[in-house]
Amino acid sequence: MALLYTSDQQLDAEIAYRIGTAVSSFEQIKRRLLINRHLPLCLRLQLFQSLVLSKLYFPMGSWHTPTGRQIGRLRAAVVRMLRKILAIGTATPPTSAARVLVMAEVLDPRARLAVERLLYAQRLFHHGPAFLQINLHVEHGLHQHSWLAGLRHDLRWLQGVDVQPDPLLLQDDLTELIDVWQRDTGRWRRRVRRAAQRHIFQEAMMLEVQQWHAEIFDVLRQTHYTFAPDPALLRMQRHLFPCPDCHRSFTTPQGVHTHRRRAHGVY
Amino acid sequence: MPRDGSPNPCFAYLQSIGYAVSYAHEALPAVMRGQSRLDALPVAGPYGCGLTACQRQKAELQRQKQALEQIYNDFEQPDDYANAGARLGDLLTAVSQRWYDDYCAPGRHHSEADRLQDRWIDVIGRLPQEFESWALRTFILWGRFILPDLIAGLLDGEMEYHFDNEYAEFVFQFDEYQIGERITQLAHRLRLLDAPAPLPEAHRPVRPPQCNAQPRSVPMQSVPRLFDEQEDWQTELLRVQWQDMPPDPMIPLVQGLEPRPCFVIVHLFSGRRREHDIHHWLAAWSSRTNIALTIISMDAAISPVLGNLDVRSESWSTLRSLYLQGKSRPQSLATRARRFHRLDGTRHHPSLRMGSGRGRSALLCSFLASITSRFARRKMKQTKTGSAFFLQTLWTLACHLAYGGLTVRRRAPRTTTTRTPPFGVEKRSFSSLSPAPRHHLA
Repeated sequence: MALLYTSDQQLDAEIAYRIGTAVSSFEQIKRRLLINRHLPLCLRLQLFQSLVLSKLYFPMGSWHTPTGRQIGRLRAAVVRMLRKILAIGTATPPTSAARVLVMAEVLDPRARLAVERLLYAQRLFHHGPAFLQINLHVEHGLHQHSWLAGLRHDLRWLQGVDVQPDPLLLQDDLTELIDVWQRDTGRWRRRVRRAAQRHIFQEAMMLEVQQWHAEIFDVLRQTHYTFAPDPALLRMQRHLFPCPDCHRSFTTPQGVHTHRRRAHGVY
Repeated sequence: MPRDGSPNPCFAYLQSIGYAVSYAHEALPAVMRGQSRLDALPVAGPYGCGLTACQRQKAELQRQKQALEQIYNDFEQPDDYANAGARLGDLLTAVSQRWYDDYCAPGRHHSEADRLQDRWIDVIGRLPQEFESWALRTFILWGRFILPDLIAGLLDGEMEYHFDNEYAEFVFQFDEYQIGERITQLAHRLRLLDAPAPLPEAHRPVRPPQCNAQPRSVPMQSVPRLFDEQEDWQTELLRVQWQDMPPDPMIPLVQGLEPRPCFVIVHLFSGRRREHDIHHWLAAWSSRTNIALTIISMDAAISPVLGNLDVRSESWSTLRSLYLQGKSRPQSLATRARRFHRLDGTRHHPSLRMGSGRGRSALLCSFLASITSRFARRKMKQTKTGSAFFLQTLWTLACHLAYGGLTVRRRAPRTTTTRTPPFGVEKRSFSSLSPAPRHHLA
């Protein structure tokens, strides 16, 4: 699958190559298609999915699980491109990455990895060579963070998102599930696709709810109501970090430091 | 078909000679029905591809080995080949020792004309011609097993090297030696192929994840879902308590709407305008008591555009700006916002029973994954819309707390519903935090 395999067995080179390819494709068609306001947004997002994200995520099914930092790199690249498509690059207050992904109805890279790996697993155990299947089990026995270990977490995600709970997905022994995959005639693909859509919808619901709560507390805080503990410090609550030198605000302290270094020359 | 698009000469020739074949239907196998073309490509190659590369290599090596063994074993030997071989070995040892003595006699000097190889050739050449191959094999064996002992007894480093070198040069010219070595190599390669393949190992040790690694440097195995994490989020939200509150703002009169200042009353989710509804009653009451009121009844049943309370609608944006400017003070809520509350199953969740004796939510948001995660998509859409209305109501209530005003809930008759209306949830939500803002609720 044209995967860059490096001697340190990490995915950094592969991810960097994929991001470079996707960004290059994005830049090629950006002006004529993706940020062309004469085209409807849904069409531009479809083109983005098929022309850019397909290159970014092409061999993703065969990846072992990347680290949080690598997932963050992928997410930052996708969000950077989506901000240009949605034209929210300079919006105030700044829109979070999760919000941008929900607005564009694009899966988070980790959820996308789960989707791609579940689809690839079905193809692998259906059509793949025997030595590859055996090697996967051997790797699972020898390595803590093997491909199969990641697949089990993906199956757990699918079980959580799916409409009907399926105990088959949580079994320690994958034999029955592999049998299902080998007898499958397309239902698994539809099931995973539906789960991905449900995931996007559920995340959108939760973000909307959290947004409402943040706005409620914002209204009260603006009129000097105080709470203990401060709702702004709650997990997943919107918390902005204002720049002391100008009117801009950022979602992370790192964002403030980067902005001050670039805009105000403060190190 | 040629690339330039010209007619296919092969096909034209076959047609000209009248060659014809029967029709053959080609289709995907049944097991691959429903798959895309990419998926239908068998990764292991076409079906029935024959032996693997390893098996083919093994067969080739065995064929070569058998052919060489056939050549190698084709020789004649004496009847009593063991004794004959021993005698030949003794002769070779004797001529080698004699050559060494000749070398030592003139003061450890040897001439190029009298080489050790010549002595060995003299011995081997005296044997009959048909036993030449046997004699060479015997000489090779003698060199491997007897000559090292002979060399060890020379006590002369230069001669030890010379004997070895002479033997190597001499033996390398024999076909028997070359064939024997080739057979040995083939046997070794066959043994390697027969042995089980060793487990793959990295050419450098795999660095295990550090025990004190940061979360972002270890594989992100679990898929993060806000939907799964909302119980924790709500638990944290429940810990929030009122700490400090400013003095209650008064209910101001809005300037400029009427010839004289007036109160603005917003009737959210009012439903279709009816005779003797609350709008009508308030208007009659204001004219009777000479109090200026501006009443805004908002519902999609009144106007799909101006009464739309969807979050993304223009009417809600305008109303929101009015709230944030502090112009909309008294407010009446109809029971439309209880749509979300109609969802069954809330009483089955422990966190929804917190602080409520009737099995209802005491949370600011009664939105829980455990009860909605298995909903069908249509029902989830209803839930999303209903929860948005519910939280809009809470937001307006927060605006009244911040900028002053009253919130009046128009309670439906008991006979029409058996469920707890949503405003009870709102009231509990705020009043459970502190008794102070309760006077904003009526």
